[in-house]
Amino acid sequence: MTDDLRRIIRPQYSPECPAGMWMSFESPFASWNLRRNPFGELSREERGELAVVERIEDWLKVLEGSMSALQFVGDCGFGKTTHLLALLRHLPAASYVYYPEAGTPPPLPRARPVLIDEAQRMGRRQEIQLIRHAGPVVLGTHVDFTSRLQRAGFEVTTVNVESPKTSETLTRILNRRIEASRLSDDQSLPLIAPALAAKLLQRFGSNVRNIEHFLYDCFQRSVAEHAPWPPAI
Amino acid sequence: MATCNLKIDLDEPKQIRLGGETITGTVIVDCQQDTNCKGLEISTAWSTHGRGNLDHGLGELVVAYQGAWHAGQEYRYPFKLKVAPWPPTYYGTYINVSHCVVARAKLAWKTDPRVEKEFPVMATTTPDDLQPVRQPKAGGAKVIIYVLLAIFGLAFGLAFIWLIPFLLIIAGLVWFFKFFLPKQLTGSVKCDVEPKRLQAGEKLKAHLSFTPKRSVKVNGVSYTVSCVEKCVSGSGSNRTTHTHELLKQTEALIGEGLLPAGQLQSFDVAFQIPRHAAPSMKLSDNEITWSVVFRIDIPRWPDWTETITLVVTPTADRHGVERHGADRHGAAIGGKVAPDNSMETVSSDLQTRSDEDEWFDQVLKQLEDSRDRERLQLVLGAIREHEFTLSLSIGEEMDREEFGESTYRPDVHGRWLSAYDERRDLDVALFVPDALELPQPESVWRGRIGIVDYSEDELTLFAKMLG
Repeated sequence: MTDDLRRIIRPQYSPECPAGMWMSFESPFASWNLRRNPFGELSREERGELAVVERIEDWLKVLEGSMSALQFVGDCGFGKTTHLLALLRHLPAASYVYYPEAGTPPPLPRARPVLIDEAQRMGRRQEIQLIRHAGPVVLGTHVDFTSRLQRAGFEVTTVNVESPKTSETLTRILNRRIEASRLSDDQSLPLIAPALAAKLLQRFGSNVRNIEHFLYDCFQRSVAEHAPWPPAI
Repeated sequence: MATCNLKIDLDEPKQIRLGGETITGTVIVDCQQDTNCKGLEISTAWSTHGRGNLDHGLGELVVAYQGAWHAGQEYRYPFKLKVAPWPPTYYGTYINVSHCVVARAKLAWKTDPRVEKEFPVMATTTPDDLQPVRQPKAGGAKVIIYVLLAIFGLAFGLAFIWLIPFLLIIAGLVWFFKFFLPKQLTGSVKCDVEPKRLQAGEKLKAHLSFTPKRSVKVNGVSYTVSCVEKCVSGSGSNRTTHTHELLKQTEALIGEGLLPAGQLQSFDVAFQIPRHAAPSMKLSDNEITWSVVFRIDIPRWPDWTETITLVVTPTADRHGVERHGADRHGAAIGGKVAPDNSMETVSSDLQTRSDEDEWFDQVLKQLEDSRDRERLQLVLGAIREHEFTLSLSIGEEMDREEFGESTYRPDVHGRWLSAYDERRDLDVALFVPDALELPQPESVWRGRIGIVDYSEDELTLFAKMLG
């Protein structure tokens, strides 16, 4: 910026002008009409609330059977927990159990339906408890429990969460998160276009967690460094 | 149709509250249907958001009303609530802390309407559990403790008793390389930082001294002040730790050279913590840590290091924060800190971002104030080479003529889009060269533009997309 330019454009500029005169204590996301980076971590409740689960009615129907088992099988980041939390919202009487990697596994409740997250970490005792009691069960698991459940008389429905997602589905997933971070109703949002979603799927496959992490960093750079948005892929 | 809509009106919403102060306002209930409210809860609360798992806490909660609401009526409930004293509002890269007033109406057999409104809070006190820590020799002692604990644990499983000698050897090697060897050359090293608990904007003094036992060649002696955001996302096997360096400033105390045996090496330095620096914070899954690391870098020999963790408390100057609030955000994004004149360095780095917004506003004002074409051309000529970053809501593709009079003729092929800058209430005719990707209609695009013309009649800015 030359001095001439300063004189023409900003005659009142002076080096003594305090930097803070145009600063404000405001959320950097507000300029995007958002209250947070929409691709950050969510609470368990909000994850369930924002889940895009297209066949939820079908699955709820499956769970009407007393010896029904529904399992979501896949690797980390493809939405097993999200599916479970979405179902939990529709099954107010159900209990949800998460099996941690280490430590004493929590007891499996006798009441059914029960939703079991990271079911592959259940101990022998919990597996026996699982098949001993009748009632619908939902598993989020890395390994397939079909044969074990079938031997115990369960009718098993398996959903492979790693199956490819369409760009429309991904667009809905991402835009739902953006909508949930909305600040004001009467301003627009930096929504994701299906074309961008298609490119994201091309790059990351259906691993929504990796996509969200990537978009978190891109959005943060846009907020902090004025990097372009939507990001170039 | 919603049973009722809630709205929060804060008194002086932009004012920065001190932690523990009160905030006042009104919750307005616009009732669409007759309903029975089991409790209208109004509370102050804070929560983190960002890359890590969410931490949250409550300031104060009151039940403002219980009873019937009638369709078509508007009800107003003034409130006065205490703000949580800690943590302060913070906008970083992986960690953010927001304070809100939350209103929630508990309705029978219906979804509870809930609304929240954010307000800024600065803290005047720091929790006692944030303590400065001295971690001798880069945590070597910790490693040994862990190894010994592992041995103790394994001793109970006789099947693994054969592992014990190996673990003892590992512990011994850690001690030998981390503690024993460096000391053979450097002798006993004294280092300290005072104060270890200080306010943003204050100066810390660091001291390092040692007398080499033997003449020793060093690559350098340095100290590093750093501030790091660290958060954890997920749980169990999905648990991932994310770190982001907000500040890292390494200063050489001496460069490469030979330190003679028996000659005292003593260094006293001062370092000013930026006035709007991120404060130390320790929540369940989110923390901000300040530390000073001293290092004696010895070639082909284990380095001597010592880390001292500081506690930086927020500045108590509310008005200063109000004036420079955005500095804090900027500092958290990557401002550099230099000893003694750090504040100046940070400010000038950070000015550029807000400066750009201010600069654009000034340019726009000059364009709007240009009453004749000659003056307009003068301004356009002055900014011809300048680039601006804008966020624009993209409308539909249009013919150039639809935007009004302009003398601008693009030198490349492209398309014209109608766009809108919501922050400035400004219509923009955006020229997108074919070489660039055309933004989607009804999306928000952020990127660089050049100003090519301005229509006073249509109050429209003509801009060319640059990327």
